[in-house]
Amino acid sequence: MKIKNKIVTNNINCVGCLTCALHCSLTKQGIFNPMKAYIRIDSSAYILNIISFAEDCDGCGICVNFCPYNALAIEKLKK
Amino acid sequence: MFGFAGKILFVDLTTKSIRTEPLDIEQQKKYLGGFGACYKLAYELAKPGTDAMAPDNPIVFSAGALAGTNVPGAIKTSAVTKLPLTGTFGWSHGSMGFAAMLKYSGYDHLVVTGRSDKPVYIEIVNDDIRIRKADYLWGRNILEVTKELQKETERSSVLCIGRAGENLVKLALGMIDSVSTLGQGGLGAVMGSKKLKAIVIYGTKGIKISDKKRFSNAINSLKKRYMEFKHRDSIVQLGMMAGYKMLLQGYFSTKHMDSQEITEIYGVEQYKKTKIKGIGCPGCLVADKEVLKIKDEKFGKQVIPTTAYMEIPAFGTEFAIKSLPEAGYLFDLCNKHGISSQTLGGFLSFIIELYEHKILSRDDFDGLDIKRDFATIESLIKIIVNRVGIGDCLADGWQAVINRFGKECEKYAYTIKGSNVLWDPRLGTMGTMEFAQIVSPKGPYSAFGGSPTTVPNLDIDFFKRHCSRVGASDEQIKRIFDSALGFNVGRIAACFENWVTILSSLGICNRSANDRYYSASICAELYSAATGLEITPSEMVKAADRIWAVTRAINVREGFTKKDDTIPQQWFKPMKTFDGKEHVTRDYFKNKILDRKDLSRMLDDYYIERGWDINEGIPTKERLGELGLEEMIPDMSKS
Repeated sequence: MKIKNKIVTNNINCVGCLTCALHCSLTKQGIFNPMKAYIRIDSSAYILNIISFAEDCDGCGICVNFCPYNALAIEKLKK
Repeated sequence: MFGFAGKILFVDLTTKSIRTEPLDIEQQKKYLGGFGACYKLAYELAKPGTDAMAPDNPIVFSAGALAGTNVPGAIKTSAVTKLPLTGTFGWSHGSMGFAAMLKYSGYDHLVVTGRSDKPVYIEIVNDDIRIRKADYLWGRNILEVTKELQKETERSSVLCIGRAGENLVKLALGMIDSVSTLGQGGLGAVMGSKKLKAIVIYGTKGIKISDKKRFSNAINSLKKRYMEFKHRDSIVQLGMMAGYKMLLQGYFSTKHMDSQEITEIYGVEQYKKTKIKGIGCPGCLVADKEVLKIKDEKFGKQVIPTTAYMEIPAFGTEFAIKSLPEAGYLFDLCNKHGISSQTLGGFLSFIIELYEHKILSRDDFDGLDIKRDFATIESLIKIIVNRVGIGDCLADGWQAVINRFGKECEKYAYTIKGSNVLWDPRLGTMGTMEFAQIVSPKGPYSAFGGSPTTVPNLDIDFFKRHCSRVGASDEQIKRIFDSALGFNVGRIAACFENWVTILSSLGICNRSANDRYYSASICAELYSAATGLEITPSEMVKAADRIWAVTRAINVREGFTKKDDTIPQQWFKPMKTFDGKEHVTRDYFKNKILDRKDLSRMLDDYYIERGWDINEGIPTKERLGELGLEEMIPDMSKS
């Protein structure tokens, strides 16, 4: 799998809205369900959300485009 | 099936039977889904005259039609049941992950009936539905239980009750994911009566969209509107406190503390210091919930998740509590035990007044001196939640106190339909939020009267534009603004009730921070694209009219009519605030002091606008016929 971009995270900015995961699941799986997304937000600790990515994530950046809280950014890979 | 999940899940806790029914898609269109379909189901399933605590009182939980998608703020869960505090078939609205998870499991509605003989919780994981033992969870607080259940079923959403619900306290509610309240009016007690401690949901199914391109276009242009709004950053930073001036004017109590003191103790600066993180519901672009960290010597470090920080000062100022850590502790105590701080605030004020007027005595409280202070309120919460001593009577609300201590208590009960008035027109003006409390089928509630009338000094043209945005027709706008007072409150309230009905049925959050980006056209476009059920804005408004008639009709069937739409006598007496100023009830533009006659006329105008009988306040045969609700006509004539 070709990785398109490296996505960097800012857990402090994340409010756990799952907008990223909703868009990811629609783009990659054709349905809405954050559980099916390649990005995962763990909100089990109230004070901080932890963002992580599944192995299948190709770094397409859709999550970055739709994050409303600047918790995600693209770090362009060197060719 | 597009947009919707496609099934209704029925769980009977007496027989432990579980079954599903396919969703009737025509019914969804007629009632939009979510809130609207929830009421229609309750109307069909409830046995007229049933007791709120009886096993056959159904609780219908519904996910908004667009919940679970990326429509911003489409997160609403509606729940309808007969509420023990008021005896009305009332709704509750909650947020966080419950509605989305219900749909991801494959269900748009969940109906719970019956009564288990032992404590249980319902676990829903797609098609695998279990009624599990909850003896080990009974008696424990909501925060602990939610954490534990979310550990067992990872990433699930949890609706849970606390001690108050278990002990059938009529002010009890449930909490979704420990943050959002669900059930003002006693839903928590109804769950408790069924021995239902919690509902845990985790779903891996997906929601499909009928026309992806059309839907994406609508979402993208909506998102642009959100992100370009000049005050969005301030809303995200300040949450509901962005409207601090309005809160200080009408929501916080200025009877026992002055405004300056309130601002020093609870104001925006304090909020900024204590907020450590915003919380966003699924798909929310204006996250205005928060986690607070309050540190002091008395309580150490308190970490409090809240649906709205403003509820802490609202509760604290009511009891002249001059410490944010103390008020925060009491608010958190209410949440952990699952008792509504909003209802409790009004109720304990009533109890304190009875004590001050010597109707209740120290002996009634086993030697406790009743004052507006932290220690008293903490003690009262504990005796109510655990039904200890007089707490056993207090746990049943205003009417129980009047029944036990005599009719003289009545004049201190600042209630409509047995629940406390939340918005006092003497502090603000007679806007829709204030007026809608009178006609609300469940009793006073904030959301359905919500409109810009809470913001002072707006001009008429602004309101005209607003009415047009939410789907009012030209004729309706003409009727609304044909008034010597600028606008007719009764008629404009009906317009905004319809708007919030549309939002609630689609599952869209109606907080002003979110509502402002929507219009009836945008709602119709999103609904049509998502579900494939083509609908116009005016059809949506008509559906809202229909739904609102059902919310009334189900309660007419229970004996509620115009006689219960009472106008509080307090509104016609001046109110003195702490600064010595006297406040009276005025119209929005502050041109006229309103008397009972004015209010009665507004009430009549409201019924006329709705097409209801002005003597009885019930939907007429003709109106029910126009709305396609002929089957309800026989129930109306019995009242």
